[in-house]
Amino acid sequence: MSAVLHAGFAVGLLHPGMAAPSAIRSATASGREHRYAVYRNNATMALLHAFESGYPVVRALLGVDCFLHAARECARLHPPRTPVMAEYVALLPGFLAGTPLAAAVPYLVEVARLEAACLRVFHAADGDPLPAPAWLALQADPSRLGRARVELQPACAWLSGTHAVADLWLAHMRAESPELAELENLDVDAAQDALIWRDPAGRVQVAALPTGCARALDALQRGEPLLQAFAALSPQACGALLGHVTRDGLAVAVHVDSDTIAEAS
Amino acid sequence: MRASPTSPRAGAPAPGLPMQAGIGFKPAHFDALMADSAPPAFVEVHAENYFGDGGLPHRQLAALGTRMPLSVHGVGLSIGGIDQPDPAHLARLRGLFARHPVAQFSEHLAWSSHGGIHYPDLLPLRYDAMSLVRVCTHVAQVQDALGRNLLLENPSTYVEIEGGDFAEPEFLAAVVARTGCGLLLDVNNVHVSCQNHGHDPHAYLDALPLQQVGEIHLAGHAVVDDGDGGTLLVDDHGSAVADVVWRLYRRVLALAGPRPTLIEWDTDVPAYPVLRAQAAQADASLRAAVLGRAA
Repeated sequence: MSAVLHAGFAVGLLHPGMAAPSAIRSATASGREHRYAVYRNNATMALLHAFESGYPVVRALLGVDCFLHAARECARLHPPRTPVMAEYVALLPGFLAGTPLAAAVPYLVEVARLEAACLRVFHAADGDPLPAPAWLALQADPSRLGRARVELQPACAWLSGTHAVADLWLAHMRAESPELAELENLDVDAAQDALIWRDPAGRVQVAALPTGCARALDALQRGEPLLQAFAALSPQACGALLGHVTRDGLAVAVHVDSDTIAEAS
Repeated sequence: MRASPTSPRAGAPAPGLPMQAGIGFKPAHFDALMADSAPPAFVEVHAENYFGDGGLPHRQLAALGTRMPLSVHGVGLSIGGIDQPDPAHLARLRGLFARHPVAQFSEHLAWSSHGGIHYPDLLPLRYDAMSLVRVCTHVAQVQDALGRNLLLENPSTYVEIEGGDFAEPEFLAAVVARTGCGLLLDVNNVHVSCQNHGHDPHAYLDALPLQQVGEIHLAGHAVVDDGDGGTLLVDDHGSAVADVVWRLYRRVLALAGPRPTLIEWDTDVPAYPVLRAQAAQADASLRAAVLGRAA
């Protein structure tokens, strides 16, 4: 009996058109609907709030009404299978990719993927960054540096954009509010990669990188030595990426030949 | 054999929190809280917000844990649900307790998942004999899995389900007697539910085993139209504690004695001093209760 009751109570929470369950005690049908609507509103608002707080720039790109409509539709078609909202909302980029919005705003899905990565990085495991002196010692011996296999932080991510995905995101987040972002000076069609990591204070940082850097990071993640992983990069791209890896503490350890260099070693 | 629905875990709930006022922790208040030379006596966090692997949430919780006791309040275990408590969820709770010095854990007499789907709200159950067996089984499973007693919170409800065998406080009293869990008495929820269903809050309190109250919650509520020409109270945690709830709180203290008391404020979160002042008001009532009992 209770299973039927719970199933009936649950199914209407995300579907405003459905009538309130008849098991609700009430003097009038209107009273029953009003009372059930409190639960429907609570559940819906909690889901929408989770999407809004995770995707501030997607929200600005679409406008609030369109964003909320999309989020509501996403929740209706794909309700949460986890009670952890920060994990649930990771499905939004995939959902948006299957809607006409993806074509209407060509960089929408890429920005959504970047924001999903920001959430993941915010909650990712901690790792002690390789200290700067260890990098200096390695850089003093270029051949050794080239053979280094870099173990990256759990709290970093990257993606490859066909638009200026990182600069788009940064322009919105640096504005007084994302809705007020000025994009006139931004070449949104210039492809770039994006790097996402956590600074020492635990705040998520995003940087634009030249195209190709995401593939180089993929290669590092697979365990390829630095020289091989960075082979396709221009010298400027190489310098930019290595600068982030060393200065922003993106590595927890470096393996050279049979040595492992890490904070604890 | 460990606790089962018919063999409560031994002893009353451990006195995990001080008999003073605490606040629901909001990350925006972190700096102010750490800089406060006379901070609230404890803080409470929602368990599911700390299910991530690392980063700022855990760093802040670790820092707070060095200053004051931590209370962890679950909102997603769905103890009143049909399905058994999710082992993965319990494992994540165990991980949280292993990582931080958690003085106390609480959950709700409510459900939030069904058939593998999670609804981010606390949903009402029918208070019948089958629900009682199921809730007691789930509480015992949670207490076994976590190796600690939990406090079960009375919910705010907007509907009552036809076909029940028990009034809510009787149902709670039976769960406490059968499982050995304690009560988290949310005084605002008592007011909200009693107003919404035309019950007497004093009779509600009288039907509860108040000696088993391990913590009290206080929060604000909103007033909306009930569709029948009357009003419905909604537990939105979006304002200061109402005067009527403060009065009911003082009655609880007179009946039960001082209890750790939490101020919850989760929507339209105010500046830290506003929240701190609410906690100070609770502390004043707690002091009065101590003096009243000593007299």
